[in-house]
Amino acid sequence: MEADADAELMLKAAAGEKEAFAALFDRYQASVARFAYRFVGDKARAEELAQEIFLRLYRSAKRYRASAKFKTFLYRVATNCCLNEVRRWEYHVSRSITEPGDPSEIESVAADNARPDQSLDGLELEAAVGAALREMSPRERAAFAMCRFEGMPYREIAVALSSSEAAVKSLIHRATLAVARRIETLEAGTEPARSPA
Amino acid sequence: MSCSNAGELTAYLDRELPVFQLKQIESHLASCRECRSTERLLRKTVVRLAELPAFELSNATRRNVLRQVDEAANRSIGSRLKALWRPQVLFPSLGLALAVIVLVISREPLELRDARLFEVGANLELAEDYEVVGLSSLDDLEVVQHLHELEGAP
Repeated sequence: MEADADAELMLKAAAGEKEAFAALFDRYQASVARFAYRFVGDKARAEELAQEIFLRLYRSAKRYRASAKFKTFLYRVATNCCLNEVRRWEYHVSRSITEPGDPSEIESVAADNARPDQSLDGLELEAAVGAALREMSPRERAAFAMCRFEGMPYREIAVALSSSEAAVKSLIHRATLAVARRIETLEAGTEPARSPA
Repeated sequence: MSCSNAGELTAYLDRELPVFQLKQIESHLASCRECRSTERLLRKTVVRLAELPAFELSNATRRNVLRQVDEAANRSIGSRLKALWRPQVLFPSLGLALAVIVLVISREPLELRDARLFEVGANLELAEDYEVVGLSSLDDLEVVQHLHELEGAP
């Protein structure tokens, strides 16, 4: 029912109704922001990326057909934007690799996201997941984020990635296992320190 | 990770396998310690991911997106209007409009056209009379206007 409502809003947006697009934005901005953040692991870049995703979505509204599920269409646009951003970023990093400050920028996810109300556990977990995500291929990262953070079924992820379900199953398994190993290492390293003597 | 079923464990956890395969994995887990351990690790990981802090867009970004969409929408209306003034659109449109006007005029009722022709003919005749007689005073004008009456007079 909600999916139909989204498709209807998207068709209205394509016809020039800005209010319809604003309604879609309100409904999906949190998901898109989370997806972008997990993809790039940096708040400022995620904000810019989410902005780009929504503008790209608005510009491509006329290409949307109601036969396609809106959420799948949205994540297809989002994934393309994220993949482009990763390519741009890799190009940028490869050009400025000799400039000082880059390694700390890449390794500063936990510090960057520090908030006074956040526990150390949360920050460590964030850092471990962030590190695992960075080591994944962009497609693994996209599949993992859609599955684990957006709760999308494999079939929809396959459509969003223009891939087969079997390939998606493999991507998600490798990515989840990589994150699991990171968290396992983190827990193995920190648990003794936290346990009372 | 030597077990051949290990690759299916995440899909098993996500309930993304057909029923018969789910049952196969279930019975395999009962007998394979390695897969049981991996399945436990994967399950725990999925639970822990829910503990990750949320990330939300700032109000500034939200406003910025809606403002830019607004601008894009206005630009699109403006560019559509501007497109109408391009010569390749404007001239054919004007030509078409002219053709429509000519068509409408040419389809006027016959009586109306006859009345106009009659008036034009009468004026033409009057003009010819002026030319023949020549106008040097107001009396001449009166004479021309009543020329036919005078001609018909005995």
